[in-house]
Amino acid sequence: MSPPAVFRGFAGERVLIPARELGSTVLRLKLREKTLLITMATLFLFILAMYSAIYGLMLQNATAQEDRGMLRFIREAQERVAQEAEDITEKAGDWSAWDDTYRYMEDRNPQYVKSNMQYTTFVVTKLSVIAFYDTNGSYVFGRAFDLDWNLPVEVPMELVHETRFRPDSVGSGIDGFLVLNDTPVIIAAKPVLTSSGEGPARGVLIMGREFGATQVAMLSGASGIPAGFYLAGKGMPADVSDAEEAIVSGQDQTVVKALGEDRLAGYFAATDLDGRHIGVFRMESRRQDYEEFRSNSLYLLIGFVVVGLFYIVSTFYLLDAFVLRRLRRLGEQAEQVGREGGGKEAVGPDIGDDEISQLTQEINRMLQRLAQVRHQLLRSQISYGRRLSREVQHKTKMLEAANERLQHMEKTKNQFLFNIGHELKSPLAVIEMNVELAGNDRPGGRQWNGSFRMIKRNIVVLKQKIEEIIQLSRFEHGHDVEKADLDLAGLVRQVAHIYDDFAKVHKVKIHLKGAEGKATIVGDRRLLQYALGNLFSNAVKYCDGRDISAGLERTDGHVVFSIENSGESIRPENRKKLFMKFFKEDPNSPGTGVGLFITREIVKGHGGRVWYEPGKIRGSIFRISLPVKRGE
Amino acid sequence: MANGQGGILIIDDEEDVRQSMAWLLKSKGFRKIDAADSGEAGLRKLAEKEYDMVLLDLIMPKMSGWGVLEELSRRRTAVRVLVVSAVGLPEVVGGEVAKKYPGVDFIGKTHATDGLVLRVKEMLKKPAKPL
Repeated sequence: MSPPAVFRGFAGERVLIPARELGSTVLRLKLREKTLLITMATLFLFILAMYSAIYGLMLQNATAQEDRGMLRFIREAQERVAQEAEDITEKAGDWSAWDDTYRYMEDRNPQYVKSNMQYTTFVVTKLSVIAFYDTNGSYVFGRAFDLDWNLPVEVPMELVHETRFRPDSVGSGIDGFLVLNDTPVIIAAKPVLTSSGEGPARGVLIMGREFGATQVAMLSGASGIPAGFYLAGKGMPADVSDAEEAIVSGQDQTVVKALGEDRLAGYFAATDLDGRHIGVFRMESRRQDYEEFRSNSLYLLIGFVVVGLFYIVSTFYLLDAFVLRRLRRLGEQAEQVGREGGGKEAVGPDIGDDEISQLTQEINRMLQRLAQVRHQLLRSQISYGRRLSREVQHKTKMLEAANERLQHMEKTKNQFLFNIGHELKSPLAVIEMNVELAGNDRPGGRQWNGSFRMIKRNIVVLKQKIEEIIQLSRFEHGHDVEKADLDLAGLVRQVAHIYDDFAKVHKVKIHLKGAEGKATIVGDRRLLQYALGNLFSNAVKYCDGRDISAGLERTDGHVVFSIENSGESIRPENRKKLFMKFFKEDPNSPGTGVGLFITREIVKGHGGRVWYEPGKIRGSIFRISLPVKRGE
Repeated sequence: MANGQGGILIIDDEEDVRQSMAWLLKSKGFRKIDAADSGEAGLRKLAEKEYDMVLLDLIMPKMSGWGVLEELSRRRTAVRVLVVSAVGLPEVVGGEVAKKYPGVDFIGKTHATDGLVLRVKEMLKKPAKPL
C-alpha cells in the first residue's frame, strides 16, 4: 500500500489521499495540462536553483561589501586614533624638546609652571594631562584637566605612581593608551631635551588626552557612524565581549559582525603602551549594503517570477501551436476515423518532417493497410462463404440422399412387415382350417390324413418364415453363428425328405444324388437347415411342373450342394440382384424377398459361398459350397 | 338365390389354401367347388361359366385380387364376391374394398374357419349384382 499523501481539506481537516491516486490523477491529465505542469515544475526548480545561487552570491557580496565598509570605518577610526596620538606626540615633542622644559627639569622653577601649565593651555591644546618624570622615572610634576567639564582635576594616581617613563625606556618617544581612572587616555611620552634636541635627557614629558566620550564620538568622523568604547573588565554588552574574546584570542585584529538585520558592528581593540589589551571599540553602522541586497533580492525574485511567467506562457503557447495542437488534431482525426469506421480513411494532412508528421504518415499507411486487409478479409469471407455454401449444398445432397435411403428403408421395412403378416397368416389359416377338418374325422381317416399332412407342411412353412424374421433381426445386429460338428449329407437328406411333400403337392419329384454317407462340416444346424430349406422351397415353387434334382459333390476341402429346377430361368439382369435384401422379381408377388439374402448371410457366416447358375437348357441352379471340417 | 348350379369358385395362388377351403366347404355341404390358381385363370373361368360365388384372395403374383375385381367391374359381371385375404388389418382393407366395390364383402383368412361358412351362406341369400 503506497504511503498516503496528507492534505488539508477546506475545513482544515486532514485528508489522506493515497499517493497512487495522486499518480493516476496526474496520468489522466491531458497533454496540455501535463505540458503546463512540466513547464511550471521545471521552471520552478530552475528559478529556485538560480535564485538560490544568485541570492547566495549577492548575499556574499553584500556582506563582504559591508565588512569592507566597516573595516574602512574602523581604519579611519584607527587612523584618527593614530592621528590623535600623533597630534599629542607632536605637541609633546614641542614641549619636551624645549630649553624651558629642559631648564625646568633642572631647577623646577615655578615660573615655568605658571606660565605654561595654565589651564588655558589644556583647553587650547585639548590635553587632559601633562606630567613630568625625572631620569629615574619618578613623577615630578603634573597637571590634569577635565576637558568635558573644563575643570582642573587631580592628576590620576596611576600616573603619579608610574615608573616607566624613563628616558631610556621611552627612547625618542612612545605613545599609546593608558587606562587612568578607568578611562583610556592617549599618552605621548617624549624625553626632555634642549630645543635643539640635544641631550642628555633630563627626564620624560608626557602628554595625554582623555579618550572620552567626545573623542570616541569623534571617531565617527564624517561618516557619522556611532562609536563606543568598552573598557575591558567592566561590563560590556554581549556582542562586545564576544568580539573582545575573538580579538584577544588572537584570531582577528578586527571583528565585523551583524547585529540583527539593520545594524552592523565593527570592533577593534585598544592596547596600552605595554601592548596589553585595555578595551574594545565598537562602531555601529546601518547595514546599507545588506538592505540594498535585500531589496535587490526581492526585485530579483520578482524579476524571475515575471520572466518565468512570461516564459511559461510563451513556451506553452509555442508548444501548443507547434506540437500539441497538431497532436490533438491528429488524435481527433484518428478518433473520427475510428468512429466512422470506413468513411474517412486518412488523417492529416500534416506539413513538416518532424515526428508528428511522420506519425501522421504512419497512421495513414496503417489505415491503408487496414483497408487492404479488410478488403482481403472480405474477399476471403466471400470465398469462404461460397465454399461453405458449396459444402452445405453437398452435405444437403448427401443428407437428402441419406434421407431418401432412410425413407426407402422405412418403406421396405413397412413392405416387409406387410408381407410377413401375409406370409404368416396364410399357413396359419390353413393349419386352422385343417385342424377343424381333422377334428371332424377320425384319426387315420382320409380327411384326417390329408389335413394332417397339410398341417405338417404348413408348420414347416411357418417355421421357415419365423426363422426368416429372427435371422433378419439377427443379421441387423451382426450376430455370430453357433457352430458344431455337423453332417451335411444327413441334413440334406432330411430337408429333401421334408420337401418331398411340397413337391408332391406340385406334382413333381425331388431326385437326390450323392447325398449318401457323411460329409462333416462345422456349422449351425438350424441356420443351415433354413438355408437348404429356402433353396428347396424356391426350387419347388418355381419348378413349373418339372422334376427337381439336388445333390452333394465333394471337391478338395469343400462340399458343394446343388439344386436344379427346370422352370423359368432367372432373367440375366436379375441374377446379380437375387441375393439382395427384399429383392423380388415380381414385386407384387407374395413373399418377403429376404429368403436368399438370409441364405447368403448364413453361408457367408460359415465361410462358404452360394451362387446362381442358369440351367443348361432352361431353369435355375443354386449351389452352396462349404468347407469341410479340417482333418476330414 | 343360389340354385346350386353355379357353385363356388375359389381364386387363390396357394394350393394348400385352395384345398383347405374346398375341403371345408365340402364338409359343410357345398357340392360344387371350383378353383383357380391365378387371377387370369379365375377370370377365364368366370367368363366361361356362371358361378354362385367367388372366394377371392388379394395377394397373388401377376394379377392381384384387385385386378380381378377391376376386370369384373369393367365387364359388369354380376357375381357375388367374398374377398378372403390374409393381408393387413381386416377393418382397413375391408373398408377399402367396401368403399370401391360396395357389393363385395371381406373376411380375414384367419377367421376363415368359423366365419367363412357363415358368410358364404349369408351371401348366397342375397342376389348377385354387378360390381
